[in-house]
Amino acid sequence: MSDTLLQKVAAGETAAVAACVDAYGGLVWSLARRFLDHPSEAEDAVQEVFIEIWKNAARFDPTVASETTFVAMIARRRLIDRRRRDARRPVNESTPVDELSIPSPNTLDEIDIRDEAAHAASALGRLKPDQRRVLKLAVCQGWPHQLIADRLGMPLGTVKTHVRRGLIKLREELQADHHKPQLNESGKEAV
Amino acid sequence: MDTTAKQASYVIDSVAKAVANWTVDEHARLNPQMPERYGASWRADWIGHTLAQLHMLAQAVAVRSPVLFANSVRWTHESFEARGITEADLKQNARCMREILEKELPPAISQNALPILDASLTSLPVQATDTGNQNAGAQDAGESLVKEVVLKYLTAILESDRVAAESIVLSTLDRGLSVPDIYEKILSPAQSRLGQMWHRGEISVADEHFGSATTQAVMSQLRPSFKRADRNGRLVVGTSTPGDLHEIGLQMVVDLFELDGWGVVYLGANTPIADVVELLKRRKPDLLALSVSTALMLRDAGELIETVRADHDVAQTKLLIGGPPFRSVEGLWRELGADGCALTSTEAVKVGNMLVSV
Ligand code: B12
Repeated sequence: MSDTLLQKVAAGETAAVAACVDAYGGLVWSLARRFLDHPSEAEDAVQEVFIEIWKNAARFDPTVASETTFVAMIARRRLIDRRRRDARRPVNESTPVDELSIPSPNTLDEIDIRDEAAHAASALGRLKPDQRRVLKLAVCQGWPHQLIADRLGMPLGTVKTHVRRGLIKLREELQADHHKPQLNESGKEAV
Repeated sequence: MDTTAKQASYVIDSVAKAVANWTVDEHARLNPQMPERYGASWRADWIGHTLAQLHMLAQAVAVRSPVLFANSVRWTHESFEARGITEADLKQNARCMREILEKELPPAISQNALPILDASLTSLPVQATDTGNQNAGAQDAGESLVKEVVLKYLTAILESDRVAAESIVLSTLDRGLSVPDIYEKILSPAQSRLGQMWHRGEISVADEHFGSATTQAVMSQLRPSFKRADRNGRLVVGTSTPGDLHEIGLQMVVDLFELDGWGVVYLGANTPIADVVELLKRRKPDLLALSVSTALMLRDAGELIETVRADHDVAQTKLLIGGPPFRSVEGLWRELGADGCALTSTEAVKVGNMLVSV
């Protein structure tokens, strides 16, 4: 019997694929917001990251890294990739995660990622309930603003305001402790 | 609703935007002339279309119904063709979407969606259908009075003349029509026709909004002429699915229960699930009438029913369901866990009475 979410994803369990979105949505999108300037780009990127995570689930080894570390690492690579790609549009291919070889994390990396997860969760928790709900749907689940407005019975303008203000607030909270990751010339993250 | 199907449906919604982006990239790669053919907003337009298809596919996955998705595809094709978008492009878009879903999503998810998508690809093209209200409309009624009134009512709406529209309908009371007749033979077909015109791009959203507001105003003005049967001691709670903004169909249904002597608690559109359950606990109705106006609400409707069934204080409440999606998909109401289904408001009262007398 597999025990971690990613192992269950790799084993083909539908429930685990869905549970991944709930468990890591906050972490992935807080990373996406730190890497990408526009909220709508971050929304797209979050969804791409999840697809990448599911594809790579079989490569997760709990003896090497925690699941959070693995998720954050895939997210970072995908986001760096996307930022690089955006910088020289219209190129439309991505570096397969395979080629980026996921290293066994050093202690600093591990601490950094755990910090990020905790920050993202607590920053989300500090938002107003309506704002949090809208943000989760918009960013973690990628719903179009109109659909959220329809579903929650909120005017479209209110949804947009919640998304915009929520993201600004989150960004402020996250930036209070973090700096945006810097890329060196080769596009690799500078440590 | 099957739990695995529901989870797969949720996952498809969660990554629909990425899938839509890639689908349109692929579609444009195969058809480099897309920007030229569809103008400056071609990409946003096609992403919007693909997203809408994916959200509908997600609902079809939740209720495991290829028919539901095929109907929606047909319905989309009708409106797109009216706007000059070719069948060939729509089909190619669907094939690209299939390819991306197969390539990018875990098999545990895609295997729920691909057979549904394939069925829609093979069954096209089929004659266009209106998934909206085609019930005992003016056409079947064969009554010239009714036909004439529907036509005049629609004309007044399109001329934004609310006073004329109201008096056209209200005057039929003097000409012997009953409130249920007016609901089913005039207002429902008129709303349906408005929907069809809007869908084909023949009228604006503003025209549709004006029409719906006028219909609701007419319904309020009919209330003084209600001839209610003696109270039968029964209580029905009428609600829409959370997120569902359509209220006219449900309003008609509860009004006819009221005419039949039932006590009625009408919650209207978009009531949160927790509040519905709380009200059921407080009022202990004989019947919950749940309206689902678009197939996009099916998963949420299933969620509401499951929540009611899981709460043992209210689990026994009889549950009647209805709305346009049930017209085209046989047995859908059972899949959602309802006790009964009706396609019109008069039928709703009959089925409701049957359910509570068992
Ligand atoms: C008016 C309208 C709106 C208005 C509603 C305003 C209002 N205050 O109610 C607004 C603008 C909000 C709207 C929005 C949308 N709409 Co709209 N809308 C309509 C329209 C034109 C008329 C609806 C209506 O009043 N019908 C008249 C009533 C009497 O008919 P009815 O709802 O079917 O109800 C009857 C039966 O179904 C049944 N019944 C209804 N409820 C119940 C409940 C029970 C318990 C029982 C037993 C029976 C029952 O009895 C009723 C009386 O006979 C229809 C077109 C149509 N053909 O109906 C589209 C329609 C319902 N909408 C549709 C869609 C897709 C949408 C949107 C998603 C559009 C969009 N892309 O934004 C949004 C969704 C918004 C949301 N979150 O809900 C589609 C649904 C297709 C489908 N099968 O899924 C329709 C059918 C249009 C179409 N042909 O494409 N819409």
